[in-house]
Amino acid sequence: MNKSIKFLALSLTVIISASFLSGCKSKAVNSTSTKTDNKEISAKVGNPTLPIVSKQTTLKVWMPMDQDYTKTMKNIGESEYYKELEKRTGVHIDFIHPAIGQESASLNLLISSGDYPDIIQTTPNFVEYPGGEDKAISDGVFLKLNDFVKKYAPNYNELINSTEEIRKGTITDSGNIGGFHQICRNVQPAWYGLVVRQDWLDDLGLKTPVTYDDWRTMLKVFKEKKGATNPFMLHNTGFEYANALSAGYGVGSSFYGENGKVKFGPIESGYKEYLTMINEWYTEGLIGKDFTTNKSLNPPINYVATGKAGAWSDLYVLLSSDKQQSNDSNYRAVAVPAPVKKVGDKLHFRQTNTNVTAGIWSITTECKDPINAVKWIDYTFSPEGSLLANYGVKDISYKVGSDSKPQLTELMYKNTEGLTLKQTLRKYVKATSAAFDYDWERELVEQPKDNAEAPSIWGENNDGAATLPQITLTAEEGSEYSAIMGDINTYVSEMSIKFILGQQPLTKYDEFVNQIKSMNIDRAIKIEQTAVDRRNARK
Amino acid sequence: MNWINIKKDFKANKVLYFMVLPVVLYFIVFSYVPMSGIIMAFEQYSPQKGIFGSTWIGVKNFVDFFNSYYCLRLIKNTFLLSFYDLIFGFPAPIIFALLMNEIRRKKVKKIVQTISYMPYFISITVIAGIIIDFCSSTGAITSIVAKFGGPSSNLLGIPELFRGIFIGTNIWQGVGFNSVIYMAALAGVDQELYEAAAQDGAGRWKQALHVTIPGISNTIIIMLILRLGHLMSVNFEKVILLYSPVTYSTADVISSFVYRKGLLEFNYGYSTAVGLFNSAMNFAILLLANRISKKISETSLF
Amino acid sequence: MQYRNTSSNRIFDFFNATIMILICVCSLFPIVHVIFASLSDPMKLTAHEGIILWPLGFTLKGYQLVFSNSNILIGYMNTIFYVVVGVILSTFLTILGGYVLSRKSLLWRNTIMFFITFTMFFNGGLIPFYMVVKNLHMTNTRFAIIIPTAISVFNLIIMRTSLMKIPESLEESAKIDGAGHFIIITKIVIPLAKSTIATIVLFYAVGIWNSWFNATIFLNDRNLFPLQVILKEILVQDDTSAVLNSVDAGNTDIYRSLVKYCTIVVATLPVLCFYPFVQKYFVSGVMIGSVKG
Repeated sequence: MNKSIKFLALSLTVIISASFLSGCKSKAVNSTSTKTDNKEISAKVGNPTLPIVSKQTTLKVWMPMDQDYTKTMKNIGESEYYKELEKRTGVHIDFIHPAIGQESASLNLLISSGDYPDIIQTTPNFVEYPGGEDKAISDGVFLKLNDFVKKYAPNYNELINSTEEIRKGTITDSGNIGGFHQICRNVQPAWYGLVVRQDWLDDLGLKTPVTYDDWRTMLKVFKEKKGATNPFMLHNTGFEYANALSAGYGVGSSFYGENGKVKFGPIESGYKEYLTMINEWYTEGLIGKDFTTNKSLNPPINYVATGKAGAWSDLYVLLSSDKQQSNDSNYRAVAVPAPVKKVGDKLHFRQTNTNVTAGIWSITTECKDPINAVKWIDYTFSPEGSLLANYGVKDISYKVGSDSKPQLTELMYKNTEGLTLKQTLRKYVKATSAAFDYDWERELVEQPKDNAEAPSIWGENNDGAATLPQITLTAEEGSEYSAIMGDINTYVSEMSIKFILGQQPLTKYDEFVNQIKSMNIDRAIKIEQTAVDRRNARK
Repeated sequence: MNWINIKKDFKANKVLYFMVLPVVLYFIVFSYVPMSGIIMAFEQYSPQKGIFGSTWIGVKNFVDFFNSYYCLRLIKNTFLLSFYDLIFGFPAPIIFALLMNEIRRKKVKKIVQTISYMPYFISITVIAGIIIDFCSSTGAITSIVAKFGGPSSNLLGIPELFRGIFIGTNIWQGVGFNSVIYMAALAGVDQELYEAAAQDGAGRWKQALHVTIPGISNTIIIMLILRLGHLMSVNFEKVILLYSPVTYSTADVISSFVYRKGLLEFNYGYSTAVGLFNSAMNFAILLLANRISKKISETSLF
Repeated sequence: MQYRNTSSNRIFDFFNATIMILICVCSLFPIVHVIFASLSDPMKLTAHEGIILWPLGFTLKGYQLVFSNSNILIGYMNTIFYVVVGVILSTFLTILGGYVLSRKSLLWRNTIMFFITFTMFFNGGLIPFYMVVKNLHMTNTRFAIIIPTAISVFNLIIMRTSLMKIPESLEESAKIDGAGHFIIITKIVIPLAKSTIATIVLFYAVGIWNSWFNATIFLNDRNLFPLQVILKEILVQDDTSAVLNSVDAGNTDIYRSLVKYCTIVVATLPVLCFYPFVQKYFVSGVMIGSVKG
């Protein structure tokens, strides 16, 4: 008991200092709200009286599920969290779930048929309303929620007005509120990054690599002394997710931001330098020949667990479980910071998270009781509702630690029915999605040391400032953009690999850049820039 | 066709038309009524506005496709992949069926049939996993190929080999199942004809040539016409599982490119337009094949 | 087939036998791989590369997990229902259509064939198809799985082609004896076309067994889902890196790969066994001659 509290305190400190170091801009939550006029709030901030409705109310919610739900239930309404929520609020929810893998098609069919449920969950780049929130509002499918939020969602209202970042992230370019977002008060640090076999480093007397030269030496030794056939298991695009490997050259594989300007990696000089280096690594056998098959974000387990690879990219929560699948008892993988050209360089590319995640719960125009729907959603943002959503029911899924902070119980992370933490979370508390004041730190419970330290290592010296914010393109911009980028993306990915493999000599690099320019990249950059500026101008 | 003939035909064949009515109705309801959706190819489709309410943009989607830098390559890859599959993959089940027909012991024949038909049912993701594994730089097939003087690196990273791997594995997975229809046709060949041929002194080979093959010829022809009708379609699921940017030059086909582009933007109009273009080409080829077949043989679809 | 036992024939037989053995081996190994993988220890499974020719370690845990998953059992029941009902309906309609469209005297025959073949190529896409089914009030019912895909143009063409081979003289003599269409179909056509009917029964059964897409579009109630949808969900999750939204607690399920193989075995094994039942109808050339006589 004592040990876990100490551990929690330690990790919280680590995380908080990491956030500080990574330049998190979150100010204190209760700073003066910016633009909203508080006079019209007819409900008060804080815990509402329960139940929140006067008669039995039912709402229909359309929401994608995933495998971790279906493990224990057929319908999210069966989860302990929603049952408890119904008990408290008096609102019954009928969930409608699309089949896994067909979410986007199902949403389009739903809208085409004109038969909308009361609440729909959408997430950009996964399942979204074609054209975005503003279009959904102007098409008359989503309700414009600005007034509803002011009057009936005081907790959400306060939260979204707490910082400028949060406010900008929760409204559309036109200033509309189209749905309720998931918000983190503290920005979560990187959960993905470069990883290396620490036990090999120890064995070979190497220090954690810092510069690209260090990496080259290390990979060489991995190959020669440890028999690694693919010392660095590169991702099949030639770039790591969130550009951790190319960060040292100041470029990303696609669009990124530099001092407010949108840039496209392949036409910048750093890109050529990066490819040159990777090509050298490839010819020296430091990157295996099989990297072209490494397609997913999950670590290439059959290379990692069998000692064929000594360095790769991974999720922080998997560092320890990868070990379980290895036959090497000394196996130890740790996070390492992205390499730099020379010591002291600052980096701007890594996996970044924001206060506001883009997924939303929107209320449709077919909802007969929008006021109660809004009040129901707002409950999750009240202190009581938020505690329930993040931690569940006291003494079942959480207990209060000696630091008066809630902490998940063993039922959650040492589950006896063979469920993983993610699956038990789905059963007892609210899963990450939308409409949620999310405390990501709940997942830190019982994370082994190497896992817990990983995010701060990845954030060391790397502020992730190059990541562009979430933008929305209008329908015309969208179709122009995809017409241009459809071709350019194919060209860039194909040629980049050819350069790396040496099938195309780097002397022809200028031709490559000119070709991209002739494919109208400047227009695409302009479209992105306009969208970014529009987003930053949100009031 | 004049009015008198039509009346006569209807009188004589009333019952037949009545019998085929449910079939025709089925196609009207489930195929022709939804065909109105083809309009989406000409629209900036918005699900809320529906098929008849979305903005008309004419041939813009088609123009976008034809203007693409890769348009020609995609058409070429789609055609070649499908064409090679036709040349090698079409005869394979026929030859296999003929060979199986020569097995004398019935029991052995049945066992071979059952085993050969199994790989068809293994999910494509598992098959792709096996192929990737076997073709990796340390894979089984790669080592065999290397022994014969071939390249010793990841075979799926070599564009020139993609078609061979794709089609070879198609045959491996499908030859058994696809031979079923020919086995059924072979069962329909009149035994008397064999007896007559044997009496005339024909050996095994001559019997095959003069009795067996003509006996299943109309099945083969119809299957060929249908197959030609799919010339411009490629099983895109398998392509996506096996390709990567290294092999785009031979592996990227129309459907895989449209899929990637579709991930950039949820635009039904574009994919419908390209699909329509594909279908139109396929159908034109089918009509041509049908006409040629009518002239050369007695068999045709219509 | 009749021939003498000459040396050239024996050589051919040997050559044929070799090819058959090769094909059988090539066909068997992926099956063997999947079955043994499903019985292997999950840790060893990840570490192993290459084909699996015997179980690595042994565990039934994967099957335990699969069968305790009520989704899979329900999926099984549903699929069996859809296959039985679907095959009966589809075969009935296909024989009917095939028979009518093979009658040479039918004036509109070619027109109808064109009309039907056209639908193989041009379709309006998912959304209008969905709207039709919805307007017929079939969505979220079992009808949505059976009816909209009841007739396959391909199978119809196969049926028609084979029925066209039946000599007209048989039909004529039956008509002279006063038989109506119904008698002709049941007493002459079906017995003679046994092998083709068996083929399309097999094709429909396999098609319905393997289908999943329409179920995902038309059904919301998971109690109606066929087996393949459940299987696809398991496989899709494995391939896509999908929504890594804060990756809450990641994916530490080490049984995932094992369960995948077990699900594949469970979902595919029955269909592998369809064929032997259908095989017995592939009997050679039935008594056309005797009927003539």
